[in-house]
Amino acid sequence: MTFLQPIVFWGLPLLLLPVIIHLINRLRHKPQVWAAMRFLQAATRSAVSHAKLKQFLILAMRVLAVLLLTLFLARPLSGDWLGWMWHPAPDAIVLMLDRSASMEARAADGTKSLREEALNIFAQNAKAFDGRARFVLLDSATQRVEELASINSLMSLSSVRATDTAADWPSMFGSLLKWSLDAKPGSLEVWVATDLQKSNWRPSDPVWRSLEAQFAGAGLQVRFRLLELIHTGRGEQSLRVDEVTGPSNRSRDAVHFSALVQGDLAQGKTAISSSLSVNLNGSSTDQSVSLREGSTRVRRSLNLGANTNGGWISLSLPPDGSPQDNTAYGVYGPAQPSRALVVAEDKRVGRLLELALRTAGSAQRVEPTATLPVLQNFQVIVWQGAIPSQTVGDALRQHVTAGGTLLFLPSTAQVTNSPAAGELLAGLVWTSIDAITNTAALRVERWNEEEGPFARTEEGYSLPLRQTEFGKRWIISGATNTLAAFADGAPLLARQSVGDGKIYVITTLPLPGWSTLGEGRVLVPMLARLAETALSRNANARMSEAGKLSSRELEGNWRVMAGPTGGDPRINAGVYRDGDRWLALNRPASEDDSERVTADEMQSALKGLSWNFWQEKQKTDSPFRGEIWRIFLMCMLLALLFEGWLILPRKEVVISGLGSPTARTGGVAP
Amino acid sequence: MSESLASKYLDSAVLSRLMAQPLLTTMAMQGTVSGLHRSPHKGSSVEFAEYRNYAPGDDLRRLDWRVFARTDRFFLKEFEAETNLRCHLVLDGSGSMAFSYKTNPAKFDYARRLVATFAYLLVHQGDAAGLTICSRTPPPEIPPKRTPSHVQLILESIDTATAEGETLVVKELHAMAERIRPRAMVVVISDFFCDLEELVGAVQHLRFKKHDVVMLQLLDRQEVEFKFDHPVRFQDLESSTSIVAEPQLIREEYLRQLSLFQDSLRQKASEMRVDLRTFMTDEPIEKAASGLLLARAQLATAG
Repeated sequence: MTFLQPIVFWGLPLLLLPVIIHLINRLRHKPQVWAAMRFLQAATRSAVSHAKLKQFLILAMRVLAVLLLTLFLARPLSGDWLGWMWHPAPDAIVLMLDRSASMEARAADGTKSLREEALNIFAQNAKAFDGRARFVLLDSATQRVEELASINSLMSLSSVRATDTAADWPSMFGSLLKWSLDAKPGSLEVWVATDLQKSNWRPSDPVWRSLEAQFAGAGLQVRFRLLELIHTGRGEQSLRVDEVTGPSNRSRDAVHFSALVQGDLAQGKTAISSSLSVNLNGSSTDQSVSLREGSTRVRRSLNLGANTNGGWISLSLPPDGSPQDNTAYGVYGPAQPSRALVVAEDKRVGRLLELALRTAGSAQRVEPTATLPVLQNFQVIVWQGAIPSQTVGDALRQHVTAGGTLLFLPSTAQVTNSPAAGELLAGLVWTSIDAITNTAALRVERWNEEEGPFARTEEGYSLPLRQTEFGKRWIISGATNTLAAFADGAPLLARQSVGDGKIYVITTLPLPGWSTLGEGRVLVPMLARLAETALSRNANARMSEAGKLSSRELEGNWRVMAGPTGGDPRINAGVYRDGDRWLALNRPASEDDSERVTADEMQSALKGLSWNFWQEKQKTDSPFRGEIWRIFLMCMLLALLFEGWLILPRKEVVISGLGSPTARTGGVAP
Repeated sequence: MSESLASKYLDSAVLSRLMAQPLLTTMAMQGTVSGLHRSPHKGSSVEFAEYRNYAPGDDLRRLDWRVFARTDRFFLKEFEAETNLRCHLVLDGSGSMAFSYKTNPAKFDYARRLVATFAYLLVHQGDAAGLTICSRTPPPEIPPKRTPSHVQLILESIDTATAEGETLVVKELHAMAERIRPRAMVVVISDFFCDLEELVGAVQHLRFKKHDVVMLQLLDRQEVEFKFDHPVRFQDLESSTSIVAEPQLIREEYLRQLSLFQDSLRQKASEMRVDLRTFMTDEPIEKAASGLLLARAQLATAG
């Protein structure tokens, strides 16, 4: 058990106060002559043992009340021994360790990470059970169950080291259940160390109900103890590389990157100047960036010189309380021509799109009814009109999943949404053609200028989207990521991620009566950017999240080019190289999510399991704050109540035959 | 009668009110002159008692000739004899009687005023009053007499008496039972803080001698309430014993012991047909005395 106000323990000598008062009280007795001595002597003889016991109890209750008051004021947190003292040693203790990237944030003392702090607490508390219980480790990165020879070996295990992966707690509990059913320990205690990141716990996932039923059905004696670790840093930033585009037709000797810096600034500031360390293939330069509150997009071009082969970059912000999110990696492939395929129902649209795409590279146009060329030869496919068949839909989806880019434009006529298109567009549904009559909706007022096809130019100029006129559009539903919207909120451009690729959907056409996109001031840069973005998804230069790639995808002899020494591409972020293949791994985006599971959500997810919380010390306000002062307050009140009951005058003894001062009557013998 | 002593122990206003009700006895008394009380002998009062057959030697003047005329048999008509009583007032002069708490009078002072009041009333109603003080250095016993000057003797005796030493009531009651003539009234004024069995033995001795025994118990309010708010060193008034105690802790047991004693005392008094009355020293003498007088009158009438 730990205390938030240990200074209060200086008041512990006050425990002697009731005893001192009692002794002083005994010394200050007054003399009194007495006639009815025989009754006094008899009362003293018969009541002495009972009175002494009562006196002792009264004194004990007073001392206890002062002790409990001291403990109450010291603000105790439920901790190790308080939990353990009520339970005997279990047969096995499973240590479930969160090794996700967010656990590398600094703990309260600022020297250790949350993961290291959790390991220390584990090791410290497990010593009480060393030799009496089996210790088993289950970590979030490998999800392997590993039996420990001794708790002393815990800190030296490779399976407790830092990773840049995300944790999948429902899956970990599944692994725990499987192990429990196989190993069949008599009584099991599970110690869970986590920062309660919501994206890792997914409390609303229905799998919890299933797990709960399985635990209940297995008849296991399991107690869960949850060690909550919270990092409460303020004024910290996280860095993420969204896009790295290698040499292209537009700039053959430069690499472009787009990075996003998120976080809050020091209180009262709206912008600060910071230093961004950019490492291009091993040569590092520091660049000054101005960071705004919330998020800041950083786009830069780096000169490659003569070396236009594949390579890597790493970006770093100055370290803060969460060092794990201050570095990001990116890779790019060798210069390659941009190839685009245009498939359009309307010839005029097809011609316009082909011309626009040729500004970024080569473009080939075919009719929808014609036989399609091999899609893998194209980085960008622009499709206008209905998807003719399921086969074509599957081929397009496969192309996107492998990292391709697909721009989808609607048909000129009202058509039924085909199943193929619905499946391809990941739930996005064409609803109807809408002739825009509302003048307020004629314009596009807001769009994403930070990234995507409508982003600002490198010089900082906005695309003339506001000057573009619209007369007709398709209404779509199910769009999750709208990059540009009409004034009435209807999407103009939406983006869906499918596998490693992306599908863009635009709801109007570059035709007279539909819009003035055909003038080219918006359409040409939009398509050029799509082509460039597609180039960044080079087969030999892949960017992904740590822990996301399968073993098959990671086959090869990967060498660490940047990142932690001895990094493992399965779990560590960094840049890896295998011959001509480049691989950049970053921590999952969900690890930057600061949302935590609330107490209600946690109770809802774990309600069927016997668990209690166990807090790391030095918490700030948290729904799981383990202050147990209420218990001490209640105990103190109970002690005082008991003491009050002890000193309460007992039922008055009635002496018959005596008169009261007002009714003075004498007894008369019959 | 000395004015100073009389004013010290007697209240003329109280006495004038109390004189309306004589102190009566429930038993037949053997007096020396005629009085208010029933005698064991038949006499010539106006109160008819019974008829009995004539026996040779009887006074022929007491024959009822009307009955002889009707029945041709000789009957004597007998009347109740009424006599005065001899009342022995016994005052406990032990140390425990000196107890007083705060503004309450000492039990001994209260007892002295009771003795003076009853002595005056008895003499005033034509009965004889005597005084025996049970103490370590008792003044001479005053035998019962019915002269008004006798009250002065009693007042002088109680005025010189002090309450000290252990209780000698039991011993004195036994001595009185042997010493005084039967059929007298014995009024014992004490707190009766002594061995109950011994006390009962002494009272039974008096009852065996056909005395009408009245026990007046005096207690202080603090003795029956035992309310202290601090530890106390209790010093015995009759010995050198002392006890340091926390009254709050032993109060319940003390009161239980006192209650047991009182219940036993009342039980024994009832068995011995002895009139036991308990007075608190914080109640007026008049109220205590008038209560006793009225109760005695009712008992006498009923008997």
